[in-house]
Amino acid sequence: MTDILEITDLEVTYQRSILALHGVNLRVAKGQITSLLGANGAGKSTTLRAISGFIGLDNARVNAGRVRFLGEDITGLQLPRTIHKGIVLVPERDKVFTNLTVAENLEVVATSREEGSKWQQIEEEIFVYFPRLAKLRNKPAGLLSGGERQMLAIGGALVCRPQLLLIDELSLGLAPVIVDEIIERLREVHAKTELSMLLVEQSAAVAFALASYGFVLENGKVELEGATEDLRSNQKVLDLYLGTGSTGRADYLANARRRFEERANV
Amino acid sequence: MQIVANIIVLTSLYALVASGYVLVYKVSRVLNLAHGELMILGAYLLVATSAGITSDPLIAIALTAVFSIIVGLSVYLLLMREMTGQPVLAAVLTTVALGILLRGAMVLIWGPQQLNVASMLSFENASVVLTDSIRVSTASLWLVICTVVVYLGLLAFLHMSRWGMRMRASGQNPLLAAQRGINLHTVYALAWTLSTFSGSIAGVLVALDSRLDVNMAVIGLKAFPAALVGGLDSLHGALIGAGVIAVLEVLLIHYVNPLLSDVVPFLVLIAILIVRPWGLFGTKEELNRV
Repeated sequence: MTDILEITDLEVTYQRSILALHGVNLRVAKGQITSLLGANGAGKSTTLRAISGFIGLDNARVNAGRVRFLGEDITGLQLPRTIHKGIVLVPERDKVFTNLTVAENLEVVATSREEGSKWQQIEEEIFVYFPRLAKLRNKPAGLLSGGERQMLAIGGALVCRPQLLLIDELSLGLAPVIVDEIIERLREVHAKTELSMLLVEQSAAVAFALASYGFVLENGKVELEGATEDLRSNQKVLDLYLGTGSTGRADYLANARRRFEERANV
Repeated sequence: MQIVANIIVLTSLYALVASGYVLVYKVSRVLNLAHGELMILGAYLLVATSAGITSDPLIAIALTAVFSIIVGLSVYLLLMREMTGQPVLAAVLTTVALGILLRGAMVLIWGPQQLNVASMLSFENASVVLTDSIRVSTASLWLVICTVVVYLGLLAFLHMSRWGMRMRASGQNPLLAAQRGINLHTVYALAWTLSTFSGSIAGVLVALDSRLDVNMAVIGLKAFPAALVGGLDSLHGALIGAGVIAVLEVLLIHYVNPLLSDVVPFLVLIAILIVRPWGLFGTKEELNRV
């Protein structure tokens, strides 16, 4: 199986000094859904932003390492050129244009090549995946619920015709029943298009429900990787992300508290 | 009834100038404090065109419109482009500097004296008798017509065309716009161009209606409260804000004291800033949810 995305020893610093990633290695197989698990501050979002391209505002830089997409070196490539390559990100926050209607949110991203009837077709395609959006098409996106926003954000990203879809925190802040619906929709999209996806999650349950392979990120480094079945039975993952082990979680929390206090003392 | 006509004309002027502030602010959150100077520059471009290229008023005005588009585009490409991604305050201060530079340059090139643009173009600014009791000058009539056309055009553009949609989207969430492949530089350049264009139209018509000198840039400053009262990121708000200020200004001039005309917009500005700082129709700036 070929890899659509390959990251080797990626190091990213913010504001020239704060090291956010210390040598991340990960791969996304073509046509597969891959998950990237990690707690808050582990570097998940930074990894995604490094792939999809920083903008000047971020004040972030890839210090070392390589990002290869479809065999081509795209390290440090900025927006919007990454979009033209086919890498599209669904960001964690502020993922829709709240002052635009649902239909406008989809239309605004379409390239000029897709005018007229072809555009209608694309829009209908998105509404087939997310029927809920079709009913809301003339409603301002600012009035949508969190789940509807997530669907709209994914829809908007799909309009960009990605070859690799990056999703930052699919389930964060959403009700479980909505998460299930979105998972179902994404499975449909994947079944129909075989779109490669990299899914960043804090919830192992969601990541395992969708992905066939996973990476676990901790403190800016990949600690663990493997097929979903292997990760599912891994004791460490169970402890940290599924909350089933008691000792491991207690250890982890104690460690976290100690680190926090050390930092506070400095 | 004459007073109603005066209110409509003044509303048009403020609204036309205010649309320039709103366009740039709506799209890039930058307050263009050089807008008054850019507006007057439009009128001076007409002077230059009529003196150097053609004396036909219509062709001269059309050429001036083209030049104003070039000016707007250059302001973005040469100056404001560098400010993209910098703190908004830096960009606003850049426009202050631009305004001062333009003012100086205009005095150097065209001198400090008043110019009679209408006579240079042999444009006869006759007063038009609408009814027995209402008369307006030809230039004022054009001002009202241009404002209506510009507003209808801008509203249609912003809400119906794809680039208009992109402009609204970029103003609301520039990062997401970039992440969706919208070229922010194109969007900002478009906003600056349209803003300078509508400002120049106002400048040309004001100059045709009275005389032209550099100090008329203060009209830009007086129209700024109109934009702010309506809400800086709302185009129809600017129209209504312009109406509010024009009504108060004309009534106070008529019934109280003409000397008040220059302070009225700013009194309204202070009042609205106390009561409703985001304006009548503007978006309330929200704190980010963490």
